[in-house]
Amino acid sequence: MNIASPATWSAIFGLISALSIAPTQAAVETSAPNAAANTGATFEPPKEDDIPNTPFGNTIRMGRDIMLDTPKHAARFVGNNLSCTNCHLDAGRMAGSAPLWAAYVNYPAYRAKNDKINTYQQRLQGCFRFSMNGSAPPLGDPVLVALEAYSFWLATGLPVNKEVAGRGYPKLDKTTQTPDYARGQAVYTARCALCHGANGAGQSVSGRVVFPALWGDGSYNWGAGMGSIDNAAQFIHANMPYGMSYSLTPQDAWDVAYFMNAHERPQDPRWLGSVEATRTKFHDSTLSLYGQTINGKILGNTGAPKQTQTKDQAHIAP
Amino acid sequence: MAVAGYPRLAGLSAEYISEQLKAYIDGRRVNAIMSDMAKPLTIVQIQSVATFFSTLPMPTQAGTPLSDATQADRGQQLAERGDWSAGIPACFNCHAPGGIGIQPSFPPIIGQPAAYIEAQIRAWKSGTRQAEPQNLANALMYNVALRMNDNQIKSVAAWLAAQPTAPKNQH
Ligand code: HEC
Ligand code: HEC
Ligand code: HEC
Repeated sequence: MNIASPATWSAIFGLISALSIAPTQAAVETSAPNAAANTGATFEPPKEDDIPNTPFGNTIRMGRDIMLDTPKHAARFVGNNLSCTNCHLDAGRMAGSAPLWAAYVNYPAYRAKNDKINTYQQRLQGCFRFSMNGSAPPLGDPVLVALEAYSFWLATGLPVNKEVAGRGYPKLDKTTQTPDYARGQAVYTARCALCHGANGAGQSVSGRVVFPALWGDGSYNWGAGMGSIDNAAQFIHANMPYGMSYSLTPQDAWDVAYFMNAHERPQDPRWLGSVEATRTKFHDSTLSLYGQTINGKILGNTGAPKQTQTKDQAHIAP
Repeated sequence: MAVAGYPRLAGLSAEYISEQLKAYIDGRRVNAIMSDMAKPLTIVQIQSVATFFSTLPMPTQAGTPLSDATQADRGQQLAERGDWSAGIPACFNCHAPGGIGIQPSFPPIIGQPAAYIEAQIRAWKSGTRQAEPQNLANALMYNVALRMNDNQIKSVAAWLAAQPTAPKNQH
């Protein structure tokens, strides 16, 4: 057969408009449309087109842009390849994906993580330090102000200091079988590796991240909320595989969350000089694999945190 | 230059093209012309056809602005941000910024004629394009397609087809 004529081939390869018979539909899986589906959330944040054309509106838009492309718009404070929206889907609008509107109305709040009352800006500082493996912007920094303004605007009409459906990630009951590495690996290979890569490093095209890193240097560090197996299982169950919410069984979600968090990632910035001491103080829970031995290696045994290499050190003066 | 309804193959991955040809052979993907064309092919022929096209450079094309500004806005919004209330993630969050695709499983969606893009989405909706049930790539796009309404299909296809290929810089 002559394959040397692209014109002929491209001429015949399509012509879909001339459809013939529809074959019987084999069972291709369907799923819930989004993370909000199982949360009972009724609140809808205002539409992005309605951000006012005022100086305040510009700050709101800046907050939205930071959510969507954090390494670009908050370079000074970011040490990995993630963006906020990777874990707070649809730029922080999505119920069941820790939406910013539900968070905003519940601060200030006590947090056991640092045994302090945290304002909303202080809560945001934690995201940069741990999830973004970067450094905390100073309170009042334009980056935090923009994120706060955006969250405030998203929460338009919500009562403050009142739990709201859709906050956080939907609770996922413990399953009868304890999470397992080998089962998790099988789920990962079948349902995740296509996008996040066999090595968990994600995929980029022309220097832009398309599928974010789940472990390794480009991902969240050991201090991040996602490093806790329960948070990860809940997030994954509600949001992954991307576009196929709630399609994994709860057992699969726990197993794959365990597998994901059983890999090396950047050191916990609260490092106390040894893995044992850091585990005892900050990771004393079955939900963290930090300091545990997996495949013959102690996780987190990588020495002191590297000096944060934020994205702009090359080109922006301190 | 692409002809209405006929896709370009240059620049698609060899894996993707051979998987599509196999789908025509098994009847998982149906098209009056392609199904008959593909059936007599042997595995070796499929592989050489697929490899041949995958090595051709992606053709460049200048952008053509759409006359209908509302349609353009709606299409761009879907491509860049999706419509999450309907469960549609941004096309570019899977097909890469600019829609240039990620080899081997996420085909490029720019540089294709609007009629082809529309036809693919409708084929998933009507069941004339499907993969083996355990094929994650196909399930992903199938779910996206199921959630799209007529208006969205038309707008995003028109907007994508109007974009220049080999974009120099997105911003
Ligand atoms: C790797 C995933 C990840 C990334 C990236 C991430 N977060 Fe989070 N975020 C989480 C998780 C998980 C929680 C819940 C943590 C917990 O309960 O301890 C959370 C919690 C929050 C909360 C509090 C939610 C509530 O209801 O109290 C806010 C606000 C927040 N993140 C904002 C941000 C911002 C802004 C960014 C970007 C600068 C960001 N996050 C980046 C995973 C992430
Ligand atoms: C179709 C591709 C695709 C598949 C399959 C997929 N993901 Fe994701 N994943 C994404 C994208 C895209 C994001 C970022 C979401 C956004 O920005 O809107 C993401 C984000 C994440 C995040 C938060 C960000 C980070 O890097 O930590 C985790 C965790 C995650 N995925 C885990 C999984 C797991 C586990 C599976 C398998 C059960 C899975 N994903 C399957 C595309 C995918
Ligand atoms: C969750 C990831 C995901 C999202 C979001 C997504 N796609 Fe896809 N798309 C895919 C995958 C994977 C394939 C390949 C399917 C296959 O192999 O059967 C595909 C295939 C296609 C094709 C067929 C291309 C060809 O050459 O035959 C078109 C057209 C397409 N997508 C358009 C879109 C449009 C338009 C959007 C946005 C409305 C979109 N996709 C959003 C994953 C996605």
